[in-house]
Amino acid sequence: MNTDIDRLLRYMYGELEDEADFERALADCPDLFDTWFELHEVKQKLDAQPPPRPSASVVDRIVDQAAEAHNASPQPESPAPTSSPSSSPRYEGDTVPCAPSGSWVAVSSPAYHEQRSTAPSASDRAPHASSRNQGAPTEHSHAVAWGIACMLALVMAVSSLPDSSPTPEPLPALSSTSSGTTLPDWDAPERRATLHRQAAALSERVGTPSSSPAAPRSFSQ
Amino acid sequence: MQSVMQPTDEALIEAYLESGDEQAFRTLVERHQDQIFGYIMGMVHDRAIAHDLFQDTFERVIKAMNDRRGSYTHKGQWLSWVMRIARNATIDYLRKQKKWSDVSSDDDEGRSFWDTLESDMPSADADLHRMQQRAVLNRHIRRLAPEQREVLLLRQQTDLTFREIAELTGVSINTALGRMRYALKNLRGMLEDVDQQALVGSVDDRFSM
Repeated sequence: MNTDIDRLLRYMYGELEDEADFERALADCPDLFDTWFELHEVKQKLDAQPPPRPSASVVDRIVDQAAEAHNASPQPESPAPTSSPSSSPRYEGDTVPCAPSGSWVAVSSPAYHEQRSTAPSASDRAPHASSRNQGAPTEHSHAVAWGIACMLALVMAVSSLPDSSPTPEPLPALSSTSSGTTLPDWDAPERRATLHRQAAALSERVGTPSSSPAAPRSFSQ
Repeated sequence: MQSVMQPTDEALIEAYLESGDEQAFRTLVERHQDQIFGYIMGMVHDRAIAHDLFQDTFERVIKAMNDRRGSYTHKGQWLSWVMRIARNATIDYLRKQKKWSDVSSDDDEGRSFWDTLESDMPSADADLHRMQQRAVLNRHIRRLAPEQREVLLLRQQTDLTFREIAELTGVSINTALGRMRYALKNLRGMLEDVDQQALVGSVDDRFSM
């Protein structure tokens, strides 16, 4: 009989595989049917009870704990992206690495030039600058780096240019001042004219006509 | 159709463990909160204590899940695993209170755990009657032997199968079924006694008038 009641319990809770077979047994055995009826009444009363539910604030605390525990534990080796808002902020505005050793390489790469050409203007980026981490590189610092790189390239180009004058010009003569100190005579008209010629030649080679200096009137005449 | 669209427990677990997806973990908790909290509440009969035990359970769960990152070994059995932790926390509490090994007595304070639930509109007569019925039924559940009450709650509230209950409680499936059988029969007997007393009371009232 206990075996039948065990099957009856499993039938009541939907765990019995051969339900049709058991239902035939229920129909054939009045005592088993009476037992089913009695237990089923109790189960119906139990089923009518709504389940108790924890308060939402407790669930919120649990979820917060889960987030903290995940952030505190070591990350898995697989490079899974993290979507947690409390994870450390990442600088995503530029591809230039923060490390000083890598910044120069990145500045002089063609990919960086392409990115710079499509980047928003400084005025567009300005509102975002204040929200960034102070330790992260800013747009201004990249502009300075870019300017320094250009100046270096200009100096290297100037030093490698062949001299257009037929004879090498000597260094400007030192002139003595009233205080006795010696200064180079950079104001010599011939020297200034030579420098401007070299600058004009350099501008033509670089291909930036807007930057070519206009010849001073005093030398064109 | 809606249940088909829901992510599985394992998908939610993976989302939490792999990328710290809070919403996935919240969904997991909210999906099973009634089952887990219902069991704890039914065992301790105190909402504040049940909240503490519920939170304590999940503290252990969270710690274990993060310790096991990358080698999670409870695939497909998350609820059973959590229920084991919840049961241990609950039994530990009951043992400290010396309420686990003793058969429950009638010395309750007249408050059932159903009474402690927040009710939306308890003023209506129907609701009042339903609450009274709940209180009566719950009082009877509390009078069951702890082992019988536990199997009853695990089957009714947590919806574990008898085989899972047997594994969780460390007994054979026949023992679990036997405890359930006695739990339902005892409840049936208590309800019949209440009905008979009510009937006798009403008959006495009629003859005394």
